Amino acid sequence: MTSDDAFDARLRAAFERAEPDFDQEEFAKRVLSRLGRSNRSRALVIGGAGSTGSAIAATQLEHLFESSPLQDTVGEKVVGSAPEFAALMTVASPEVLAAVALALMIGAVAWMIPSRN
Amino acid sequence: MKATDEELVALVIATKDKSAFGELVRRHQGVVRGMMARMSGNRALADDLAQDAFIRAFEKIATFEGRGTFRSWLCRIAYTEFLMARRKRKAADKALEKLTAHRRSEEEGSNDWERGNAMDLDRALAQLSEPERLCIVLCYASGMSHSEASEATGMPLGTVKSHVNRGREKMKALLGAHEVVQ
Repeated sequence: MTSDDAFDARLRAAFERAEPDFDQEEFAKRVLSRLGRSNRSRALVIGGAGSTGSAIAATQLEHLFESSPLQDTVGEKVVGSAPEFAALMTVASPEVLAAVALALMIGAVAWMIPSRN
Repeated sequence: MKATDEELVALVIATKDKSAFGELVRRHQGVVRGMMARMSGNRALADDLAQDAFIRAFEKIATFEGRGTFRSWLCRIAYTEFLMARRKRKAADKALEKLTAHRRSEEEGSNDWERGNAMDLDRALAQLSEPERLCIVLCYASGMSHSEASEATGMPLGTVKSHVNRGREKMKALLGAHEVVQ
């Protein structure tokens, strides 16, 4: 046995003896409980970013329809087939409605995905 | 029959099964927490970092390709977490270094590392360069082979061997263990 071999064995043994006494179950529980939180908060952040993006997109869409030759056709069709929707449109702007709808959808997904397991 | 790490990982990737991941946490928490404790010198911080490492591992588990062991892949994530945390806490670390240096000078003289005195071992480890400390911790405290340590650190095998050799010589000198044990 060389000097290095002997020291290696003693060093390994010393580390083993000095090993702290870890509470495995408690640690595993803490990690697993954080997994759910992490998934949910990430999904909510993504959802928030998505709804903000949709609001911006909706603002642009309104301008697109205003300048489109199909505006009257589209407008008549929507108002004719869905008067409730038309009434809603007078209360809130399209971008707000789009943002709310998308936020609700993403919120529901964010709520459901982490609960699958 | 007990499932292998690879089987549990496959289950987690396929179904995000938390109980399978919980089993992986139970199996490897000792190595990760021990490694973080030796690297940071602070048990509470080490546990926080170990938790962060496991969360990150869960999020990135699909990237585990099975080229090395799951343990070395996990230790690599843990080491990255340690480096990121250290960068963030640089200022706090400087203050801590001053405090521990003061404590070191007060406690010099005791030499019962072979009886498992963690303070002596930690004091000696603190004198090594960071790569040396990392390689010594992985190979001696975590029981990894040189090639596993190479996978865990991302360093070439030869570099790991050099760090282990240099670190061991320093530990020998610091712990006052020059005599040959028969």
